Amino acid sequence: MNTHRDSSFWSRLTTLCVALAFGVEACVPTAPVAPVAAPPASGGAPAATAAPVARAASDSIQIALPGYAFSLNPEIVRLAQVYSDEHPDQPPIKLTLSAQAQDLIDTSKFLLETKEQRSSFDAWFGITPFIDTVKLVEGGVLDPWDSYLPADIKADIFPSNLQEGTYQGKLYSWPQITSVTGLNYRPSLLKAAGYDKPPTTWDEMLKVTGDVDAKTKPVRGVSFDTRVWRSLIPLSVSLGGDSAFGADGYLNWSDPSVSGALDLMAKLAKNAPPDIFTATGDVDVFKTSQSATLIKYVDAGITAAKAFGMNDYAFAPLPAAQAGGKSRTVQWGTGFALFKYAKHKKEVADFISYLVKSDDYQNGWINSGEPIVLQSWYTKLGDKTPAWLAANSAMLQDARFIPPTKDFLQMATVTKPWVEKVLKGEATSQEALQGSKADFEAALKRTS
Amino acid sequence: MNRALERWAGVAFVAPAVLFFGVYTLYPVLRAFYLSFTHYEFASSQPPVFVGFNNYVTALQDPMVIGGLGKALWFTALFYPGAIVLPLAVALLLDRVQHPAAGGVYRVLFYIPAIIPSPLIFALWRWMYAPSTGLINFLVVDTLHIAATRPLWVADPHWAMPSIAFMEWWWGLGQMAVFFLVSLNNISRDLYEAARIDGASEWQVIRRITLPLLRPTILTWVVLKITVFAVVVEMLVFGGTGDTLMTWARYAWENAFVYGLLNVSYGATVGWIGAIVMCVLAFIAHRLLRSESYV
Repeated sequence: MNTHRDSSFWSRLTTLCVALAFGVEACVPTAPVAPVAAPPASGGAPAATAAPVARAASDSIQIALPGYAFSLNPEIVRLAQVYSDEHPDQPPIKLTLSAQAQDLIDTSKFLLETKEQRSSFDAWFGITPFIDTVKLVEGGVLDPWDSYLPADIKADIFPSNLQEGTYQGKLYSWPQITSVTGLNYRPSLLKAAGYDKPPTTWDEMLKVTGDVDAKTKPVRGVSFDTRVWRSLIPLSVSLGGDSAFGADGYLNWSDPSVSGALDLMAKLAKNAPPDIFTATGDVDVFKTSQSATLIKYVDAGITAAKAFGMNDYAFAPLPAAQAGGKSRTVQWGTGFALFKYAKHKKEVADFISYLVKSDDYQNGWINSGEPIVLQSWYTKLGDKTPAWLAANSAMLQDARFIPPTKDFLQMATVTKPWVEKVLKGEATSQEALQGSKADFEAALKRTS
Repeated sequence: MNRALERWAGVAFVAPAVLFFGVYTLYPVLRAFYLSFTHYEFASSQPPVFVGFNNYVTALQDPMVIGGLGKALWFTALFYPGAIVLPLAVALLLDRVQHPAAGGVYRVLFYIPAIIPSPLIFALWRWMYAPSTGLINFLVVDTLHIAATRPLWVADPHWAMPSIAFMEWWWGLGQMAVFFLVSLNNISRDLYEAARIDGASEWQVIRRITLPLLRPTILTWVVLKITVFAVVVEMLVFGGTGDTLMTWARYAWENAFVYGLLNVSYGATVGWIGAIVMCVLAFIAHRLLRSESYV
């Protein structure tokens, strides 16, 4: 027997097996990461189980929350404890922190459990309607809230937030907070360029940012996120309202508002630093005082303002197409989703109603710079409404939403390179939109 | 202990590893192979439908798959010199440090990046590469004036892959150097002394003694590191402009876990195509580096 040949054969076989295993394993659906217990809240209360230990863990109202919900609004933990104490006749509230809940990875866990006709949770905070709804409804994961959401609360929610959470006539996202694209700015940097007020039209915006660029070097005029739903869609809606979306819910590729928005972005990009092409560069330059304005939702601006101080931060509605015109923009909310195989549907709805009606809960969001979705609250706050929240309120009255569609993320992925080409002057807006449409259709054809 | 008991004890000891391999590696591999011949969307209530080679025909005509393989190949080519040759060079230098304390300090310094959790590594390097606020452009543009304009690094289609590969070099340098140091320690010092007595230069010692004796270690790492061909996380974290960082593995991941109703069958197909290419690369590496007789 030729031992050398033999060992060489096994060596090759092993090599092949190792490579094959690593390669294929990288692309195979794997078991999602199990949720972990929540860290203690700032007050020191145990967060994982908000109810007395004596209660059976197997009979509890289970709610999954992403890590950011705990850090933004620690009141949730305290209120869950209070609610459990006040309702000894009901199963206790158990909040579970899921580090990945804001990622799509975690929805795989929900889909998998649904196929097994079970659910670890009754509700999940973290649904982003335009990304998650279709997938989770088609996968049979969700039940609508319509039978459980109290009418008074429903009537109080901004219409746009309700509409975006609705799919095929049923409400799948019970909205809690919302991101509204507007204009974050630094009053001191605008003043240095000779402006006391933020621009109210896009023409003014181009002039102001151009002047900042020229007069306050190295500070640049503007910064914005190049992702499709964070600039192209809000700007398209700002210019054309509802016509920015086609009947299928995707971008209306041939609408003048969309090509106009791309042209506007290209003009703005001349007054923007190159960081807008990196993952978080748009916020980083605003945070480090290298950009006077930032087109994004308010929480990004407030987070950045922690670096330079809230006294030099302001938020204004997105500029309008024409002088005296209405400022229109896009909002998307984050809400609670109800699982089809939830064991305590009514009870979890009761708890969320309790949360929603709690001043501490709503103030918890506001204190973190998260706009809330209840219209009455904006009246209730009156003169005490923070300026940034008032600007949000003004836009929310007439905000558009991104319709839930099956392939939104794929559309955004294939469109982004074309947007970047326009911003770099490598393609016209018309070429980019035609190219995006063709690429999107080809991608759908391949995988459908 | 009688022979039968000994045999069963052996089986018992091996069983957990075999079970683990079967459940977490072999089954997913075979399941992915099966799915690649079906049309199946994970978020759909429809069961898998057998479609033969349709997915493979589509994938092999898909510019994102072909382009993604090319991008992964380019990244692998950039990765290897810094992942194998550089740590080997560092290990050879560290091996020659005579002062025990200094040797220890050097090893610790080189090893530090290996113990930093990946999220911190990515956050650090994202900041380092930031065009206006990053450390690298502060040094390259503002301090040393090597470049007149600010390079975009990961946001530049030409620099994106080299930038990420450079981060990987830095990240893995200490760990790989330690592995090579362990292998170097296994080489008898008598061989070096004999060669030097015979008048061999330091370069000849390395070329004629060290490298041949390290060849099994190098081969092992070259084969194991081929997994970089399936890189996903770094490409997702840095994003890049356009589809610069859309490697085949990222494309498979996006199809299986992000787009639409999660077309896992197409993701599995792209995964299998990439895995087969990876096997070929591993085979070529093995052929190039294999030794007739390991010492």
